[in-house]
Amino acid sequence: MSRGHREDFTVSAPRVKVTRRVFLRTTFGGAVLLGVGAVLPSGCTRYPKPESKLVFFTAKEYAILNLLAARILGIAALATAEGGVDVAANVDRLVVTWSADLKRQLRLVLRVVEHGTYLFDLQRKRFSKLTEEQQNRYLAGWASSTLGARRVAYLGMKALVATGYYAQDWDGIGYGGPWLGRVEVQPRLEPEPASSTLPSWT
Amino acid sequence: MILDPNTVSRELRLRADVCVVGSGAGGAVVARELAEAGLHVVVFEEGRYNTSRDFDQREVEMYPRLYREQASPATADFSVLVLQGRTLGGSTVPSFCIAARPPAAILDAWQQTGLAGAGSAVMAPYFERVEKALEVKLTLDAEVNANNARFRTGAEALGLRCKPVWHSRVECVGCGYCSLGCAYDRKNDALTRYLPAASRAGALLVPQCAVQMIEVKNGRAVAVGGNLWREDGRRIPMRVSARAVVLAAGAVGSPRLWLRNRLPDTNRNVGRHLHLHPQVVVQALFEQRIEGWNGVPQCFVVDQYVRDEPSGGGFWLAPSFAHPVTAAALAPGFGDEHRRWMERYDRLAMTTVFLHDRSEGRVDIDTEGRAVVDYHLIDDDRADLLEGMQRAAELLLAAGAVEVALPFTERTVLTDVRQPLPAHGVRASDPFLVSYQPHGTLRMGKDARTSVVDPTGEAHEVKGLYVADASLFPTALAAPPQLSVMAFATRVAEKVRATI
Repeated sequence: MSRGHREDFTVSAPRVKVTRRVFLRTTFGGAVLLGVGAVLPSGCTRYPKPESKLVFFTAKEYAILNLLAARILGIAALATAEGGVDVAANVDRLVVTWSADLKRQLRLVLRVVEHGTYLFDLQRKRFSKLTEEQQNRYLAGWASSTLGARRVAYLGMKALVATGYYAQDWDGIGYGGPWLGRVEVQPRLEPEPASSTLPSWT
Repeated sequence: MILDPNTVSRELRLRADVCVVGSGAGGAVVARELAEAGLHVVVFEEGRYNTSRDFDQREVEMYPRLYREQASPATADFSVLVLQGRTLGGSTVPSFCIAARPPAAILDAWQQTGLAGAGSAVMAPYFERVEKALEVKLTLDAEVNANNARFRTGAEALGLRCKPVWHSRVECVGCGYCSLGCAYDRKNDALTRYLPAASRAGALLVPQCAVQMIEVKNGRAVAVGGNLWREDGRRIPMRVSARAVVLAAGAVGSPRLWLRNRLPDTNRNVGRHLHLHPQVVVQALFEQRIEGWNGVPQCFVVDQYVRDEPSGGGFWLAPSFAHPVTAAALAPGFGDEHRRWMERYDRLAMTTVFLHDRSEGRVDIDTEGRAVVDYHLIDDDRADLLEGMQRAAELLLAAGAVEVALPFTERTVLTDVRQPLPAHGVRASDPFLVSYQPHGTLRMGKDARTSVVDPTGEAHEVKGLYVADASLFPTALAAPPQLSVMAFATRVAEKVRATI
C-alpha cells in the first residue's frame, strides 16, 4: 500500500486517543488538584509589585514563588528577593521556553499552594499570610501527602526554586563554579564547520 | 558534510542509498559503517549541531540544549523522568562515557530463544570493533576521585565485588562535567568519533531536522520526510527517497515515528516492552571534603545484586555525582535542613542505584502525535529498589559516612542502616525515578507475533526499514546500553550493506 507524500507532514489519526501528558497528569489526584486550582482566586491584589520586569509571572505568582524559595531552600532573604538572588525572576526567564501546557500547570499549582491552606490544613489564611512555622508545617504536608499529585507538585516546586537559585549562586556551599573561565584547558579537536553546500552525490 | 540548516531556504529533496533517522549511538554507527562502505548516506537529527565550543558546564543552559523537552519529559503519571538526547551525537554527548558490555548470560539467553547471531560469542567481534573505535579502556587508579574512593572503601569493607568500569575517555582532564557535554573533546563518542568519520566518508549530516513521515510503498520503506527548523523560526520541508531507512531515534522516538505514521503493526508490539533501568541517587555526608563534582564521575560498579536473567531483577550500584542545581533538587527535606545539607555540598558523596527492571511500560502517542510513556513499577521491582537503596546506604556508612539521605520525598536521613524506613516503602513518584536508558520498544525476534524486527534488525512487516537503537533489545539489558547499541548497530549496518 502506498503512503502518499504529505506536504505538510501532519499526523494522521493515532492508534490510541490519549490526552496529552501534563505536569500532573489526568490521574484522579492530579485532576482534583488542578480542578481545585482552577476555581481558586487568581487576582493580584495585595501583592507587592516586583522590582524586576516579568515576562511570564504575575506579581502574585512572583511573590509566592520567592516565598516558596525562602522556605524550601532555607534562605529567609529570598522571600523578598533582597537576598541577592531573585529566584522568581530567574525562573520567570526560564519558564517562557516551556510548553503552554506546562506553563498552565505551573500557574495552577502556585494558586493551589497559595490558597489550598484551608482545603489541606484548615488554615483560614492563605500561604503567604501564615507564620513561618505554619508555612513549614503546610509544606511538610505536601512532601508527605498520600496524594501522589501533591508530592509531585512539591518536587516540581523544589526543583524549580533549586534551579532559580543554585544555577548561579554557590556562596557557602564550597563550589567554585565551572572550569570554563577559571581553569585553562584547550579542546582537543577542531569541530567540522557546518556548510551551506551539499555533497556532490546529492 | 554537516549541513547548516539556517542556510536552507527552499524545500530539500534528495536521493540517497540510506536514510538514518537519529544521530546517537546507533545512528552514528550505521552512518559511518555504510558511508565507509561507499554508500550515500543522509543522517537526520532533530537537535542542533552542538560542539565542545557550545558546552558551558552550566546545568540551566546545557540540560535544555542537550535533552528533549527541556530535560523534563516524564512518564504519564510523572513518576519517572525519561531523558533522551536531542543534539547531534544524541545521548552519547551527555553520557558518563561508560562502555560496558551486557552480561553474557543475557545475550546467550537471547540466542537460545531464536535470536540467531545475538549470543555473546557471535557478538564479540562487533563489540570489539566498537571498543577499538572508541579506545575503550579500564579506569585507572589515578583517575579515582574522592567520591569514587569512598565507594570502593565501603564496598571493600562489606566484602562486595567492586569492579573498575570500562570507559571511552581519552586524555581526560578530570573536570567532571561529562553529563553536560565535554568542553574539551575528551570523550570518544558519536559526536567526536563516528559522525566525523561518517562525514569524511561522504555522509550528509542534517541537524535541526524533525522527521515526521516514513513513506512505505508496496510494503517497502522508500522515503522519509519532515521539516528543517531554522533559528529564525522558518520551517523548510524536506524529503529524501532512499533504498533503506534506518530508525535510530531512540526507544521513545523510534516507536513514536512508527505509530505516528501508522506503519504496519499487526501484533501490536510497537511501543511495548519498554524497560527503563530507572535509577535513584543516595547521598551521603562525610566529615572530610569530597568535592565529588571534580574528576571522573563513575569509576566502579557493584553488580553482584543483578540477576543475570532476561526476565530482569536486581540492581547495580555505582558512584555518581550531581552538580549544584540537581543536588539541591535531590537534597533531603526543606528549609533549615535543606540549607545545612547544601552548605556541606563539598562533603557529599553520591551513589546511584540502577534497577534491572522486570516492569514493562509502553510508548504511545497522543492526539497530536507526541510520545506518551506509560510505566509503573511492579511490586517485585519496588522491593528491589528498596533493597538497592538500603545496600547503597550500607555501603556509604561502611565507607565512613556520618549521614545518608534516601531519596524519598519526605526527609529520610539515616545514621544507622538498621533504622526503620518509611512505612509506605516505594510508591508512585516516591522516590522520584530518572531514566537515561529506555530500551525494548521495537524489539527484535524470530517470531513476528512477539517482535517488531527480525534478528538482523529489519522490520518484519516493512522491507527496507531497519531499527538500530536501544528499541531493539528484547529484554532488559542489565547494563548501560550505549556500547550494546553500537555493537548491534554495527551488525544492522552489515545487513543493510548486504541487502542493498
